[in-house]
Amino acid sequence: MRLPRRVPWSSPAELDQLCTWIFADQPDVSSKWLAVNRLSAWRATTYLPHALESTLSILTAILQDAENENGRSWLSVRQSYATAIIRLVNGLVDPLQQGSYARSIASIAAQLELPAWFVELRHAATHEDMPSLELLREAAKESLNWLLHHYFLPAINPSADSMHQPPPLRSLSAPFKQYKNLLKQTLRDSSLISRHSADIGLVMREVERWVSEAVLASNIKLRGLEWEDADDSETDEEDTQEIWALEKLCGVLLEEGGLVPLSKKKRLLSEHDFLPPEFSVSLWSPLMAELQSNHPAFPRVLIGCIVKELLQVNSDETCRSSTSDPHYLACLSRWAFWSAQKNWPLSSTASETDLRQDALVSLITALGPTASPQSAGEKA
Amino acid sequence: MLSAVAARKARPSFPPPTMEDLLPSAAAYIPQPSQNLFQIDDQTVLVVLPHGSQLPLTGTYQLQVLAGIVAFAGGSLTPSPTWYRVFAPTCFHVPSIKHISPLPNSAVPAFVPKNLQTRIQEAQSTSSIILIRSLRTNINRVMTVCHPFRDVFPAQERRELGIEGISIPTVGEYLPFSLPPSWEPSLLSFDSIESDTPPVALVLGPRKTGKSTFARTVLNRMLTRHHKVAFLDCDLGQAEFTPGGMISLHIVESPVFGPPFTHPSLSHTAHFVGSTSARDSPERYLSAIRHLTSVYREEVAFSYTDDDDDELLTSSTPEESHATPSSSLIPLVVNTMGWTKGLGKDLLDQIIEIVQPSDIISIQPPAYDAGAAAQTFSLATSSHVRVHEVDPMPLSPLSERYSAKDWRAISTLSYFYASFSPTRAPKSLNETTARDWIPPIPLSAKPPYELDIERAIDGVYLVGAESEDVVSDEIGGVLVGGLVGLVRNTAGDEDDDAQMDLGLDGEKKRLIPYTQGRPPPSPSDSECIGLAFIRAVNASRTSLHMLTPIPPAVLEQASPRVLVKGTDPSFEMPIWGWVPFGGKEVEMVERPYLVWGKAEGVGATRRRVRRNLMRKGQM
Repeated sequence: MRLPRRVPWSSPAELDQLCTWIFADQPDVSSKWLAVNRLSAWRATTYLPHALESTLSILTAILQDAENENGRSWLSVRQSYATAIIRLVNGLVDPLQQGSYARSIASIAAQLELPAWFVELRHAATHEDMPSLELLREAAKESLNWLLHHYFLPAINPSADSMHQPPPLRSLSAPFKQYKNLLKQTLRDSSLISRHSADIGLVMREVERWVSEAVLASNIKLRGLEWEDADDSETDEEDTQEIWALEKLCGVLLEEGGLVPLSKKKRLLSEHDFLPPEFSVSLWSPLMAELQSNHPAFPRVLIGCIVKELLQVNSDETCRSSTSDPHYLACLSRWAFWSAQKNWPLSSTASETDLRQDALVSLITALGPTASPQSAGEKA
Repeated sequence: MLSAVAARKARPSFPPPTMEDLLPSAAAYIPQPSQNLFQIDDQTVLVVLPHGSQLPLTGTYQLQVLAGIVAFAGGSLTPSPTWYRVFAPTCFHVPSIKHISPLPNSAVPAFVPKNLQTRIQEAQSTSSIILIRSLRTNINRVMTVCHPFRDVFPAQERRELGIEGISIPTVGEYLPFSLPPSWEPSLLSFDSIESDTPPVALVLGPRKTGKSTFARTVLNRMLTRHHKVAFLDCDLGQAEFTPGGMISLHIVESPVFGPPFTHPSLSHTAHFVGSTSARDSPERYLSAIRHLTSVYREEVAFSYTDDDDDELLTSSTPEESHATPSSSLIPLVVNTMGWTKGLGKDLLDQIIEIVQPSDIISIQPPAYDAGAAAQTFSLATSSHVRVHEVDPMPLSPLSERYSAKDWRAISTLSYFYASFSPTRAPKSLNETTARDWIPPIPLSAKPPYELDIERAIDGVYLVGAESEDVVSDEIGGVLVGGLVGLVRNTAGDEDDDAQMDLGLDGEKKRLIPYTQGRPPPSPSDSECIGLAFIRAVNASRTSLHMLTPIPPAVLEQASPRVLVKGTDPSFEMPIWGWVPFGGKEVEMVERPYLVWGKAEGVGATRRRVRRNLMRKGQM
């Protein structure tokens, strides 16, 4: 159960009315003035959704333009337009900056189906020459159109937005396969490193893009289960979304042929330490380091997923395909150990201890005193 | 380890601490009926607190000291017939009661049974003897309205002491009240100021460093020497005696033990700002402070008369005469906002200039706040100002659990459910803190005041960054669901001809008296009586429904005929006030102005800013 949100309109009909005023195909501007007045009033009651705030700025610029017939100051009209576009793009892009590092605005815009030239326009208007009136007018028209399809229609008809469901998540297996191939080649022949490094970078970026898309997709999938304040929980929610995306990714990593090699002979485990096969480590650690640097939560999520996998085997036999295979499980538990004791960059010593403690605690709580001797042996 | 922290709070103002007091020797008080715990009646127990033991209590209770000097909440209490009202929820640091030194008292109240008198005589040479009595105010029921605070008071059942609603928390169940050691010398200095003019203490420092705690502690300690202390609250976001959004001057007579939401009060004088920050109207903010400072100087500081306080004066025993409020001056405590950088710093400089404090308590930025430069306020200009630089309070785990928004929400709800004394004379120097709360019913079910707009309202104003563009056709919609200040215009009648409109039939049609872009009356010509929640405006815009906790008699006397609404959305009725109570049984029925579930569409939520974004390669 989740708290409702406070909105400025008393009923969806009021929002519908506003939408009609804005998009009415009328030669005169009187209905647009009605919309501007209503939006200005709403802005004085509570937080205005960003899309509506942008609509207000764009409409105001359009009206200023339309009524500037004596040609007083065209610069101020251009500035109104420019500010409206800059704030529209920034406000849409900022909430999607969810990693620790900035993503390019262009990639986020593409994800939002925002015309790419808006991003250029934003950049020009902020740092370069102020764009021309003609271009700005076109941008205002386009952005209203974009707002109609991406905000107003879904907001007014929440159920009828099926056409704007984000596309289903792409499969990760292709980029992983490509990554493995490239890495294997460089591991066998180190002279290839320089030739492949650009391609490896591309694949890693592809994986990163997948995570961002998964975060966005989780928007739809995650519905609040907690009774909490919708506004306050947004930050937590971002974390939850990121973790959800990372869990999906780890799920793919844990499949056989991922962290655990397919071929039985590559699964040979060292007797002297409790580490995964050396070849697998050199194969996967560059990608994992990259993931960790973008998502500090990655090691924790990975360990969590492995522990869950191991415990699932322990509790019942309805588990992943061929996982009665003890080699697979032994190899996974070594990966968990590896992640727990690895000296991840950026993480303080305190959090490493936490990492180990967390893993241990979840193991102990789940296993309890009833642990079967077999699984206990594996972890020893 | 924990007891070491707890013991540090025991900094008595009198007598000076001995070495023993400073050692982490304080052991928890373990109740043993008929040995150190005696049931007086159904509601009251007598506790014998021997040397070196301390008693933390959660819940709401009244405390009276029969014998001994007791350290409590950063100050010390001596024997007197006063019942101190204590609110100790677990969402806040919980004070312990600790024996400092014996101070025998022959005046044992009559209601203490005779057979206990001898026990008291024996014990008071080595121990403190205190009475704990239940305090029922309904505050625990108000808490259930706001989910994050729903279980901060113990359940209404008999626990360790045998009184409902009071519990001895175990270690780890509560955060002990403790002050940084560097605060004591500066707190101590307020116990001994001898001057013809009342001390004016201004507390400043960054957010989450303990400004409010210091201000509250110094207020309580001043009350051991003065009958009344004035409190000027300049913190719009987290005010001490109001839900915020206004600058207010309060007169306090009894110490406040508890978080701000446990002592909502009507102000002596206040000015509505309508925002949680001074950012959008710095000039208005300063002129409000200027006016309240002059009100304090002219009407409060030297105006104490002991007409109604004879009882208090005569009650003091000879032994405590040195601690008796001997001074009839009314000192002032000024709490400021936590905004200490940029424009905030400029504002603080000007507040100091306006208030002319005798003491400035400057809480230093914490070590982890590397960005904060050392505070160099233009204090040095006036050499007669005493500046106390003190350490910040360590960051409490509670600040993780509750945000400023949560505290505002609970303060606002507590205010709207508070029950204020109906007979309070405006402008008197009497305390106006709410004594209890009405059992909460949803705000949508509370009977409102109905106001005939034509006859009851002279003017409607908007303040804030978004206010100028609201046209008069839309003002009704802006008021609905808004928190407004009820303001009295002290400069005479409004010129309200502008709001007459000619209807189609040529008859004069009355509209809501609002003119676009008109600034509200200035602080020198007005005052804010309190807050109201506008629940509805009828379709013809002739009447409105409002909720306010201000008693009818006060409303009638003060006659606030002006409504001012701020446009800063961070100052609004919290969502908990909109839903019919935060239990799981809430149905997701359609309600005006509320939307259940996820916001649909891109950009459907309010804009959020991320300032901590790193660029690749920036490390």
